[in-house]
Amino acid sequence: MSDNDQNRYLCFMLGKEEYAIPLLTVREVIAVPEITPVPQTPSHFVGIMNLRGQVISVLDLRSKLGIKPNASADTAVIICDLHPNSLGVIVDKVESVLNPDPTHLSPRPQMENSKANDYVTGIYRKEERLILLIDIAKALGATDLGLAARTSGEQKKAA
Amino acid sequence: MDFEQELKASFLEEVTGLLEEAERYFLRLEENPEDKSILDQIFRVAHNVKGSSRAVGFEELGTFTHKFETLLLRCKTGEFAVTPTTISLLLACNDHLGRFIEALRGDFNASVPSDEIIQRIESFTPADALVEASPNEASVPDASAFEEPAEIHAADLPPPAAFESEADILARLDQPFVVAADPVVSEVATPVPTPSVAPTPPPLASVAAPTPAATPSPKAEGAKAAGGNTPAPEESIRVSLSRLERLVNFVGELVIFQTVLQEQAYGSNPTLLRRTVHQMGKVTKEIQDLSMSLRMVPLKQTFQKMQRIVRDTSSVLNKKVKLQIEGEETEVDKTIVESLGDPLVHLIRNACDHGIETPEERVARGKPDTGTVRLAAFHRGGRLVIEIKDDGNGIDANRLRQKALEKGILRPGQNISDREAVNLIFHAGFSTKAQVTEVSGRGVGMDVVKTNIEAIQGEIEVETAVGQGSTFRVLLPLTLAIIEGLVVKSDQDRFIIPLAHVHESVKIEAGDLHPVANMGEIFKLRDEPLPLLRLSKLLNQKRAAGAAGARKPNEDGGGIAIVVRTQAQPYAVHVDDIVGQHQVVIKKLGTEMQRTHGFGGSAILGDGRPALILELQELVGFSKEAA
Repeated sequence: MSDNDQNRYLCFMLGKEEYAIPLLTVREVIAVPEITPVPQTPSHFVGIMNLRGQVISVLDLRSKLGIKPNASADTAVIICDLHPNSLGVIVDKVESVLNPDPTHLSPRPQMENSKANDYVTGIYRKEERLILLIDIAKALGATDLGLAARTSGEQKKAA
Repeated sequence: MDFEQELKASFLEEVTGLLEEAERYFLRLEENPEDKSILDQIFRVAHNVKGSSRAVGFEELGTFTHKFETLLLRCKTGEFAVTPTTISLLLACNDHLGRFIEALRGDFNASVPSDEIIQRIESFTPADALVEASPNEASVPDASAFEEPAEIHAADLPPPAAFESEADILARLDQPFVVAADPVVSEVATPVPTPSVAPTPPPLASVAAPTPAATPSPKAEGAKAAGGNTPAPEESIRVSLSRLERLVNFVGELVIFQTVLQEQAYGSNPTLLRRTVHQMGKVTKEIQDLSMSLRMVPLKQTFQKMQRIVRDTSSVLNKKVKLQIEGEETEVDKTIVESLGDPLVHLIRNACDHGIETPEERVARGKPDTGTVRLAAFHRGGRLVIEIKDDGNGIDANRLRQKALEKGILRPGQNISDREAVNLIFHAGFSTKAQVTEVSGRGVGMDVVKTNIEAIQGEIEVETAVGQGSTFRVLLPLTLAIIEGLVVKSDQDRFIIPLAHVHESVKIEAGDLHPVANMGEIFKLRDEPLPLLRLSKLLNQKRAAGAAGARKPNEDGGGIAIVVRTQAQPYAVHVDDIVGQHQVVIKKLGTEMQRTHGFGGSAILGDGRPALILELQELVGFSKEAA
């Protein structure tokens, strides 16, 4: 069973494209809650939300990847467990859990600008559709969100 | 965390406690060198450390502790006289153990070279013990430098023949470990991820962990990110059983009320309902207070460490200093205790170095030759106060003025009061000591102390009388987990300003604001001109530019000025409205937001939505830089 869990993916839509992330990184899926915006953050940083007493940052994967959002009632937040903390990720629609057949799995295509899309870990063919398997932390650049750069501490005092 | 790592983590936790215990014994031993029972106790501690470190798979640590234990044994049997020299060596061993543990905390595979210290232990002879301790010989654990006290036994005789047997024992210990003293060993020691077999690695070449002396306790976020696959050991805290029992009782009560409430949801007895809600409110408050108190620990351990600092510092300086401790049972939040250590060490050293005079000077001034440093803690007005008082030199305001002129901190002709002059010691890059000593006076001290204390929402003040001594007073909040906050509105969004930062809040009336070219706005508060900064601008709130909240900067009135008074510069911050004043529980922001500026955390407001807590000082400084 656990072997099974390792390989399952959660599929979701961003615009018209289908993506999937490892099920083990997903904590839960919720409807879009009220979100408090945070000033001085990039536009894909939507803000912070309250998840049963825990304050969690919410990011919009669509605007991060430059995909046109598809505003609908299906819009959801996937709470991802990214070590060391959790992040909320806004997607257009959560589809299903995918139990991939390894023969339909192919590695990431090596393209010229592979630096820009190195968050894609593989491609899965499901009937006529293609599902991109991605590393959510890389896709969000979660370790370095490129937020306002910190300047040295001393000058602040002098000001 | 798997079982083995859990074992290691709990071992490290335990050993840290043991080492602190040992240190106390050492200092007591110095006072009563004849008391063999103290040696027995230290021996027991060392033995415990040795046994369990091997049991959980810290081979190198075990090897070193074994040598330490051997040394202790020889003190116990009377082979070595217990003299200050011996105690200094024992303390150096204890320090080394401490550093080792600290390194292991960061990385379970860390190794700290023990060659030098082992060399010292092995070359220690009964004759050495009788040599009068020279000041240099006392090891000074320095917060900023990681150096083994070296070359102390350079002039030693070669070890006499009697030590051959000892060397044999050690040689045998170099073999992969095979001792069956502890039944757990054989099971646990096997899966250890390749403990380095050579217990004496080349010096410094294999320091895998960050130099432990430079990194105090693993700091919340930073340390967790480091260390790759080995997760940082989870921090733990000791809690008195009675508190836990009370907590469990209250939670039990809460559950009962919840049941009553559930029944009422379908019933129709408004009186009973109201009463239940009321009682539930009381119990909730109790539970909140109790659960907060679980985070509180006494200052005892932190204070006890200072004994050692005073001992080492004064012996290096050839001064006689006595440390008086008061109020060590005072409790404070664990996170505060952790960040308090370094500043305290600095203040104590400073008192010994700059404050207390040499015995000759003291006698000449008609004071007893032993100086007194008094370290006291108490609660006052919902805050923790720590006082460090010395009966030494005091601080000469005139000398500080002169020094400040020389360093260009003051302009010629600039007049400052004595009080302001004394506060110059907190200025970056300021040290009046003519000669930089190894103890203090590198000029990086007091401003760092001040910054550290401010980082935990504290303040530091100093009172001094020339010739009579100085008192440093550190004022700290009791907890960092809950603050009293002012909820303000700026451009539709709500923010929380810690009430501790707010001096007053004033409604801005027409005519109070004066736009000044190139300087923004001046707010006139009872004839005092204050620079006014608009929160919406500080935060670059996008909607501020739009129609909704837009006010022309020179428009009169409207909104509220939050007046902040800092030592550097008082100022006012404009907000649209004050929503209320609440006690809020601080929620940390994720690491993905650590690079944002001006937010101290977040808190969930009454309606369940989170709001950001503003650090005005940081925000204002930042926006000024950006401008």
